[in-house]
Amino acid sequence: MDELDRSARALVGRSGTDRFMTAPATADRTLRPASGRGALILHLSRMHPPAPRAHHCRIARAILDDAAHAQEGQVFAMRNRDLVLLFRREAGIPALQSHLARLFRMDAPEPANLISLLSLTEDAAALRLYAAARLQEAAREIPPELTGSAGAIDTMEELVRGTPLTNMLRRQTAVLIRPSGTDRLVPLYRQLSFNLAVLEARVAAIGEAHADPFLFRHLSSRLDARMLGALREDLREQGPLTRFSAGPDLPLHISLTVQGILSAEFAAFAATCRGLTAEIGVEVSLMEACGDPAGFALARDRLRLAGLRLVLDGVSHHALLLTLPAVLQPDLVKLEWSEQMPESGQAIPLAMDQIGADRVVLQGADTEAALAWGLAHGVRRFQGVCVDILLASERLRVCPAAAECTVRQCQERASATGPGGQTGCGNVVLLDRGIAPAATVPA
Amino acid sequence: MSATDRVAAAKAGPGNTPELNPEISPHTLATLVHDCARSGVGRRVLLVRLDSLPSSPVRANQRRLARDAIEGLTRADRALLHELPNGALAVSWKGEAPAALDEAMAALIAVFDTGRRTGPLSNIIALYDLPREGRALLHVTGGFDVPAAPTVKQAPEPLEALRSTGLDQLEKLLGAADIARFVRRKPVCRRSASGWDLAWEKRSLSMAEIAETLAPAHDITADAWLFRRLTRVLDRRMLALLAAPRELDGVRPFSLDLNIGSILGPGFLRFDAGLPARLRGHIVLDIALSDIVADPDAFSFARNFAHGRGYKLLLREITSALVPLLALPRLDLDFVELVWSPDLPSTVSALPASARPSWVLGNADDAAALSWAAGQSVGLVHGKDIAPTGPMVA
Repeated sequence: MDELDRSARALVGRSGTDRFMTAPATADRTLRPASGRGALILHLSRMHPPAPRAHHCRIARAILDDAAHAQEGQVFAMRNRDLVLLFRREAGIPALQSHLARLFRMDAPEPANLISLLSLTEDAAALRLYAAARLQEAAREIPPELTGSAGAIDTMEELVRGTPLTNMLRRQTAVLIRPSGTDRLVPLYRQLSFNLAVLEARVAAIGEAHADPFLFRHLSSRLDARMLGALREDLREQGPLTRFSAGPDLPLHISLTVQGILSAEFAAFAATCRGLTAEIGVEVSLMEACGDPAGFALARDRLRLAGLRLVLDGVSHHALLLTLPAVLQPDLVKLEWSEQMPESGQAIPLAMDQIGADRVVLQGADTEAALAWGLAHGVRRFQGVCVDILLASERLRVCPAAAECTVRQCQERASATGPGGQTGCGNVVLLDRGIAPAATVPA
Repeated sequence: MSATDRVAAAKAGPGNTPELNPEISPHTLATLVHDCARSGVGRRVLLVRLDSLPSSPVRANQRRLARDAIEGLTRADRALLHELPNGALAVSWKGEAPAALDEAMAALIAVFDTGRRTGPLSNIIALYDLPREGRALLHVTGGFDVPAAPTVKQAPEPLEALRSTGLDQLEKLLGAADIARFVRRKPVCRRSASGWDLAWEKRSLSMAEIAETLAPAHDITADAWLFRRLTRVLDRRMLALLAAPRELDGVRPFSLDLNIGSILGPGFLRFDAGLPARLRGHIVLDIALSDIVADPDAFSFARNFAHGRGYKLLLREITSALVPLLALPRLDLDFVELVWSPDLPSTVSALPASARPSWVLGNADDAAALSWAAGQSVGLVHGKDIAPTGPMVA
């Protein structure tokens, strides 16, 4: 058995392709020095979730398999989804390294973090340690690629058609954080949206709504009419969906498709809003604007005429780098927070400058890291779990009926749109208002 | 000035319904555009492109309803109603008139948003600001030389829009169908001293034929997103077809419409493994902007992977409105396909000048398109009369 074969055995064990050696002592015996031979480790496990996705693993594997063929090597898939190429000849390895660095440059800007090159001569100990550590881990399955089914979308839409919406919607309040002053948390708007997790759970189709972006847009267009009809009725009756929002203090935001804005239902809705001087913002996804630019332009005109604000939604930090959303003339742009943003240097702040920081809302601000990054880069508008917690803490501070309440309870009840989800709250008025008077944010 | 362009002038004030009478005012839409351009005075124009609708009894009724829908706007300040010879309707007025415009648009949408129309509503209704968008308006309406009303074919009964349940069935059918007979080829040519050289062949599937064969009762493009979803299955079938042994023997460089997910799928790896060395570096993958925006992480990864394997990337079906939206250096593409429309010259004054990406003018079917392409140094075109005259170039 030659050196490389033994090294391979040390990495993967005697049977199976993703098993490791059973005892470190075996590795001591087999990973003996051998010049010109080495291991390239592609640390896919170090990528930010949800990466590595199935396509990362598939394509990386194909590239390493080709390299293994050329460099007389072998590829092993580790339990943590890392890939290891053991090779005999190192001639093509620098080219492979730079090829992989180029391939992953958007997902992992720091190649040294993603790729390790170990020599079987000098780094045998490190490789042994690496192998031993993998041995301690439980196998991480590559999540299956959900493709979405049109049938599930149909079922969700049917469910929405026949059920009171109060159980299907969730609300979330976005805020403006002032750098100083007494009222440092100023409510910006309240977003009302379908609670897709509830919809999916009710039709036993977890993950289906977002599995395919195209099917999701189709589902959205079919939900528009239901949302518009329900809101129109609610506005007229000052019902639970729009109470304390949709006024000048707290505008109401809803998401609509271009098709929904150009529908007869929207015309009726806009007329009702005008009659009641309701303050409404309509969130339209960047994907819609790109898929139907002429329709988007017409929809934008419709919104302007109806006196509603245009909010551009679905702008990931990466999409912000590939497009210039300011061209679409939105009143607000909702930029989705990603843990990758702090790693992308000045590119995102520069792109935000083109929109104007006062028109950017950092969406999905679920962590303090998101809030801190935003504040450090001139963002003052936030929406997300972190904001929900700040608001809930403030309510608890001033609420006389909150002796038994936790922040989490208050936060969850505030996101509910029906009495069912608010059970246990002794101060629904404050809950509905969302924000305590003169709320402050901890310095 | 066209004598057939009938205009009604209305004095400002409620209840003053204009009469259609060609004798009242010598104004035509074209003169109005030119007057505004000369004087800098602003007007808004709402155009209802009834000319874009095929004639049928339903359509005739829609024409009457559309005429009623814009009635309120004709009472706005300095309002003029233009009945263009090609059948289109336009109202121009001074100032904003938001309430009347909103009402008119809502009413028009109610007329045309029947769930059975074909094509987007923005093909029928459009708003223009004069003088800024005067040229675009003239292009759409035909300017001074308004063509006579086209003889529209009797439209067949509109098909039922494809819904998601129908989609599941169609996906199953397509998964098993032999799609080779639906493949169409179209040359993309590069301008040369002697005429046109073939750059590559654009390979696509004839959606009309697929629909006619597999879903004769449905309009499969009625919902743009459902249609996009359907293209995933088509991608898989196309890649499987091209990965078949000897399928690529002797073929010339070509391009394929692909979803980004398809480039990263197992089918593409099989296609790639079977690609003759002769063709590597000469295959173009055509991708859509909405696909990029839907999953920019996957796009970047797919682009880097495709470039690494010698494929060229083309951003397809870009309209003039989308050009300023593109951060071209970061997109890092090889080609961008701009779709020709008569208003392109007035909306895209100059294409961003850089070595990459190269621009391709699509649907360059007439002389105006070709002359614009030449003026913009767009070297690559495809259109119905474009055929290679010289040898193939890579």
